[in-house]
Amino acid sequence: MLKLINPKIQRVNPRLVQYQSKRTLISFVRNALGMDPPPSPDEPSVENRFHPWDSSPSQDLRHRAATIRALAKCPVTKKEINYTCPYSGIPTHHSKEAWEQDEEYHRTKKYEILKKVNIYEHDLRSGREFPEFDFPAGQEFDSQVNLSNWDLFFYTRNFYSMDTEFQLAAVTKMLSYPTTIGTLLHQFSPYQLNPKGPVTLEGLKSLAALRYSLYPDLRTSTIKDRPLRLFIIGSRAEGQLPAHVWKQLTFLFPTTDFELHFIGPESFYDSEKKQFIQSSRPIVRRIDSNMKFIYHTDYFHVFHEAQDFFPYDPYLDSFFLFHPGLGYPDVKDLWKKTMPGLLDSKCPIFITGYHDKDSQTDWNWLMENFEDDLDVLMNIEENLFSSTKWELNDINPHEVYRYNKNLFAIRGKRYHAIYQ
Amino acid sequence: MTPAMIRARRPYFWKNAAAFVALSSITVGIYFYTYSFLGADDFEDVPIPPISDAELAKLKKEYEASKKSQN
Repeated sequence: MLKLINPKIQRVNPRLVQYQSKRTLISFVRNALGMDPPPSPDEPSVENRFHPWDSSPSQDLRHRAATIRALAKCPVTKKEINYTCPYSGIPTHHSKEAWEQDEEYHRTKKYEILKKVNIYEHDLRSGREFPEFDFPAGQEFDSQVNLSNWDLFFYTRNFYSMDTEFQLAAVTKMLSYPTTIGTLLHQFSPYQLNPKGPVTLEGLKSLAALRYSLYPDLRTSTIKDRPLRLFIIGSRAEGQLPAHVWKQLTFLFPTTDFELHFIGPESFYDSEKKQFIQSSRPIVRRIDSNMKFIYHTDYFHVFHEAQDFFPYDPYLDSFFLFHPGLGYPDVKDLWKKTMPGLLDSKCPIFITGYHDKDSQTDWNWLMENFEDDLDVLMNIEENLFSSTKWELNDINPHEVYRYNKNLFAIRGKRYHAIYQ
Repeated sequence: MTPAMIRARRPYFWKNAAAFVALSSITVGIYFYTYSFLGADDFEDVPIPPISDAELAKLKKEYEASKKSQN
């Protein structure tokens, strides 16, 4: 209307015209009543993110569907996979008959989890805006962070409001690594002492030693120690996480200096050369005054034998193994070389797993091989800060998992066994 | 409230609601107790001095006069 009356206005102030035409009476009333705006068509929902992977708009996912068809075997007929489950949109069985016969698949409602895998992957590739990736900076001095679960963590840390499961999936996959470390070491950790929680008495001793260093204001000595070293053994994706994701860890401990040691042949990825770099010297990246990344591009036992990390100090050092797959046949032998070094250090070793079976395999392998040399610090427990994004194994689409789903901890035995 | 905030507040909702009911019932209880206590009072314990009708009429007249002179 404004345009009809006076065409000059548009030339004088086009923004005004745009603004006024956008702001209709209905939206004004809605705003005045404090009601939510209508959902935009770009907003993720189960309906608009669901596509069968074979006919997915994303080439990556069509490629993954082809990989499943090429490599995976049907659980019923043991033949190649040729049938896409209509509920989940993911190739799962040899034929429609096999899909109908798979009672376990329908009884456990596995297709619901597979559907989540499908929609989360499509959401990440949808090209929508991701305002949830704007992470908050330092915590205000007098507001405490609640570490009970993801929702309370995001709320008390002042994150973008994670309203849908899509936003949670996108963000928790990255934040799971620093937050899992932070919640284990924090003085208000959600993991309680046995029998209220998974931490054993030995575990409390180790955690108390680390907390002694993390909270220097609670002790009388004013000597400033060296930075806390967090060793991430067998690092793969962890080393490639952007620095601002790891910085979330230091916001939980604002006065502490951290050194993150990423150890493993796949720890440093050069994005220019597009390959993993092997370097004889550690690659150092200083992030800011209280965080430093150090990449060691070989196996841990190599550095341990060369005494590169000596001396270990249980007050300042801890090891993190993010889904190491200790008991898996192809890496078992390497872990058998690494594990004695980790246990020798007498520092706590925290181990996560993809799913219950994965953690149980790791646990059983450790108990078979090193039971006499280790103390259990934490029994297997669901990680409260696991990734909420479901993933599937391309070689077996029925194996679904989440990053850092389970958690347990061990340490080399501190006392000599008494022989009688 | 956004869904994220509702999820974050959920573990505390029932305990907070119970605390609200407890605290507000104390306040409301005191208010009603006071109201009913004062409403039941007939002021019979307040002594009224003995006075004759003639004296009362005189006092009334004085009062009216003082009111008039003020106006």
